[in-house]
Amino acid sequence: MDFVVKKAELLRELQYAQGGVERKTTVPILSNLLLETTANTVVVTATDLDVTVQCTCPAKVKVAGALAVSARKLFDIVRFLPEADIHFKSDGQNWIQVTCDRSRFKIASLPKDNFPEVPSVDTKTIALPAQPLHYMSASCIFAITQEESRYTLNGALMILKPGSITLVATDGHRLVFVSRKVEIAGLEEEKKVLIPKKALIELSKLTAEDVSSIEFGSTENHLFFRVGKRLLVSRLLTGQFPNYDMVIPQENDKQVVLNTREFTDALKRVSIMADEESHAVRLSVTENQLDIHSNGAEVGEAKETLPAIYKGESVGIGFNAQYLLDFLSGLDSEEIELDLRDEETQGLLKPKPKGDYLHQYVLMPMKL
Amino acid sequence: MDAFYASIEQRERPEYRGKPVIVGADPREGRGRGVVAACSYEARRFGIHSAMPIGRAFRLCPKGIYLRPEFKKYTQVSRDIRAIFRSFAYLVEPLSIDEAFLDMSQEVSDGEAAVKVAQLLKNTILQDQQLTSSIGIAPNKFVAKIASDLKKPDGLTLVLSHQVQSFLDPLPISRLWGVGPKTETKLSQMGIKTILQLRHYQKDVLVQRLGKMGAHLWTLSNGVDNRPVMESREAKSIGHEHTFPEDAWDNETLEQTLFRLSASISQRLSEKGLSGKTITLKLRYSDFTTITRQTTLREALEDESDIYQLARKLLRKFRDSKRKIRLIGVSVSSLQSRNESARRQMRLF
Repeated sequence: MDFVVKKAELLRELQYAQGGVERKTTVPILSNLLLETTANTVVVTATDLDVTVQCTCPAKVKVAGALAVSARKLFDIVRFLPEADIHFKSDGQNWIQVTCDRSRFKIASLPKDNFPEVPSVDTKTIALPAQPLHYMSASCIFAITQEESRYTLNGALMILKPGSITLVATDGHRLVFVSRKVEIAGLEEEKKVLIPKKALIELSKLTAEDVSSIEFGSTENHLFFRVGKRLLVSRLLTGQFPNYDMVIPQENDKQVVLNTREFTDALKRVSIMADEESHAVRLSVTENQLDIHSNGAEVGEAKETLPAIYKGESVGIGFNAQYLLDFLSGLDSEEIELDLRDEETQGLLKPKPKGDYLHQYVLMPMKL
Repeated sequence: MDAFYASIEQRERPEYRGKPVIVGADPREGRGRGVVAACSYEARRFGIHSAMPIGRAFRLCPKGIYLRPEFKKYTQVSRDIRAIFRSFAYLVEPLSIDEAFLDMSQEVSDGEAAVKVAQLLKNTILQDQQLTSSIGIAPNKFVAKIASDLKKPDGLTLVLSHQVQSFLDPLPISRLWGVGPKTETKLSQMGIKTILQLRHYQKDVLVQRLGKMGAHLWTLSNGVDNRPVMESREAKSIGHEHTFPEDAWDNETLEQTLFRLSASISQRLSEKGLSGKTITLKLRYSDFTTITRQTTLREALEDESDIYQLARKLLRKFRDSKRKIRLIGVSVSSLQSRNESARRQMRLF
């Protein structure tokens, strides 16, 4: 294998590929990247068996070949090289020589056979708009559970309809629902897939670039997203996603409107004195006023009063302040509407004004 | 107790006495799977020991008396014997179905008195249950356990405080708690074969090579063990395993078995009101190499489908799909009571 690439171009692709690399080193080959030449590119592949990221970098290829090298080492080397051409040359055995300007490296490599095969992408695809997907995936990731045991909650549910895209994510305590009207050409019937958390994170990174649409396809076991020349393949999560419709409250008649910024800042301050494990704060709503109160058993307490737009009965409710902040910190709307019913019913938060998206956050209260 | 299951069988069937009795899986003329649960001392003379594959045992001693275990019966005997222990010591810590620690520090003040009491205990068990036992007397639990294993059957070994070091030094490191075949290999590569060699090794280097375990073993090799005798040892893990009648290959068989194992674990957890944070998968390949892989969660779980999903994930991730599997096991550890895991945060689902 013998090829030359531009430093900046390779670095950009390695940054994307890095996301696919296995973080735990339980299976050593997965801490490697596969480098594979085509006529005038080098294809970089990373996988942790669940998620595969494949990127393509323009290259002058002299001798074709394919080899696996340590992802971490290669990334670190390329990162610190000067802006110049990088020359990769294998010795036909176990080493790759990397030269750039005055630097020379010899990196250990492994044969291609050791590297897992990338699932076949040979399936019908449809075009999805990239920017809505970026916004929606970025809005959902935080709510996907960290808990491996809640298997079907380890990803977000994507619902494609001929006229809309919807993403739903939950960890059992809270739920994000975000939807946008958009025409999807070539989609005849509703399609629901579960996208694993790691794949969604990579998708949100890939769609952060300036692209207008991406190609999406699925097989029995895998999901494919092609974003420009980059490819994301994910194992499909199987199982029954909970019935999210049931938990989005319809009868929360106490609607409070707050300034997003003021509410966020007050929560940050008051939660300092909250119980460290539960992050519990109490919200009390009275006419045109919201009180936020925390009481950490041995630490102390805090209280803050905010102006609000509200008319109606008083209501009090406990929430995990961190759960509120997770949602609020990702918003850019000026105001937020909080719909409550009583202290045992889930609250509903919506950015105001609505904008292009139907964006809802359902949060279960805490018993205080 | 000496050869516990086998001795109970011999006690009940006089015609088995003096003969090699092997309790365990069906040997099926040497084609059997599964392992030896226990064997009589007569069987041990043929080289059979517990945990040996039953097929190998059969080839060593084809004329032996092979019996399926009857755990109900053994558990009853175990309870009766524990009752005897309790009449002797205020603090009794059962270690397994046929072993226990007795804290005699309130009852006896010197070695001589301890030996007298131990002899009396052995006689009581023999008269009451017609079973022999072996006792180790020592200043701490771990030395007592080693001492009890030393002169089986019907043994009695006393190790006084000033004798602990000379007692331990010549013993192979495999006698130490926590040294299994893997650690043994590691240590022997470092030139450590006896407890004396371990004790003379630099503690820092041991910690470097073996982590926390290194420090622990070094402490034990110096005869130090400060763990008190605890009346009720709570279960540390709940697990089940299954040996396939024929080595298994296909995912369906493996995953169905995983599901059954997960279901019975879930049931036992709920009987005890427990849930656990760590799921461990154990695989034994046809060549007997055994791997265990585990995953730890932030929230404890007890549901059969949760246990199953995680175990299956471990299986898919770590299984060498080129090799056939002989045994599969699942266990749940880091146990906690379910009340503890209840939180104030209410759930949507």
